[in-house]
Amino acid sequence: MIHYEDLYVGDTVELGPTSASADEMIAFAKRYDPQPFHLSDEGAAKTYFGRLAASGWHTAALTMRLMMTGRDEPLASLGSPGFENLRWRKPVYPDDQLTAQVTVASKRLSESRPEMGLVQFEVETRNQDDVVVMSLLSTSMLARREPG
Amino acid sequence: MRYWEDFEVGETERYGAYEVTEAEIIEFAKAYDPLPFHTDPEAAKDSPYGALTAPGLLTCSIFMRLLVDHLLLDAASLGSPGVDQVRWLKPVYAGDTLSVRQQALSKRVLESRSEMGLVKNRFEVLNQHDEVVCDIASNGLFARREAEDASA
Repeated sequence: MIHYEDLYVGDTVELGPTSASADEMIAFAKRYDPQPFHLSDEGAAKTYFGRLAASGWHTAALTMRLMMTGRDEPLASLGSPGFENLRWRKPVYPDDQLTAQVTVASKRLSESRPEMGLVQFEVETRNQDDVVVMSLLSTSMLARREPG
Repeated sequence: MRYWEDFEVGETERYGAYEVTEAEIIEFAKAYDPLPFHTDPEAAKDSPYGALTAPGLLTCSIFMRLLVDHLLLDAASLGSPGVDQVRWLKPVYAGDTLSVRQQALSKRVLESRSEMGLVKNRFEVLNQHDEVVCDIASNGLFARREAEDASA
């Protein structure tokens, strides 16, 4: 398990790849984001996307999958208080191979909960052409190896 | 059909009712956020949250569904460049019913593309006890009615 103490500011890892098929994108969108451009090629043809593209929240969820399962060892995560500056920069299409570049931007101990610390990760999600499709600044609550 | 002109800064609206089930939490968590307190009701009892909780991105995805149903499918929506901030303030448990309170914070016409405008909204996701479980500051792009009329 990767604990709070194991991460240093500036550390960078590249996680993935992962992907979603057209069927998975459509299933996600039917439940959570049923706008025409997320449901079919026809619905997307005359839009910015041009063809079926993933819901932005699906791209965020796929990035979360990489952050939670993409490391050799799992993070000792106790959850997250939130994130900032999420930007959907380019469309994500079926079977795009997504990787996440995750850099430790800052870390500090929690004042109210001595068993954990807060780590801010700068996250860039890229496709197989090395184009950044999404970026965000995410905060994780990580258990301390030796609680203070 | 709602256009950029139809958003009034300061105006609030409240909508939606979405019941979160245990099955949906586990399915979403196994696919995207497989922490034990999201995937395993027994393990969750021993977590700081005391019971199975929804992944934060499931709460955001449910918020999106409520936004699409209430607003976006009947608006001249041109998508979103992103979200400025999300705060997960309280756990969401199986059986909770979520709704949304929306307030327009500011709006402006895009300098580079005057046929559309940006609206910054604050969305609070509330549970059935009227507690804010998630606070979202987000951006939406909408076509301008005037631009639509001019090109018609």
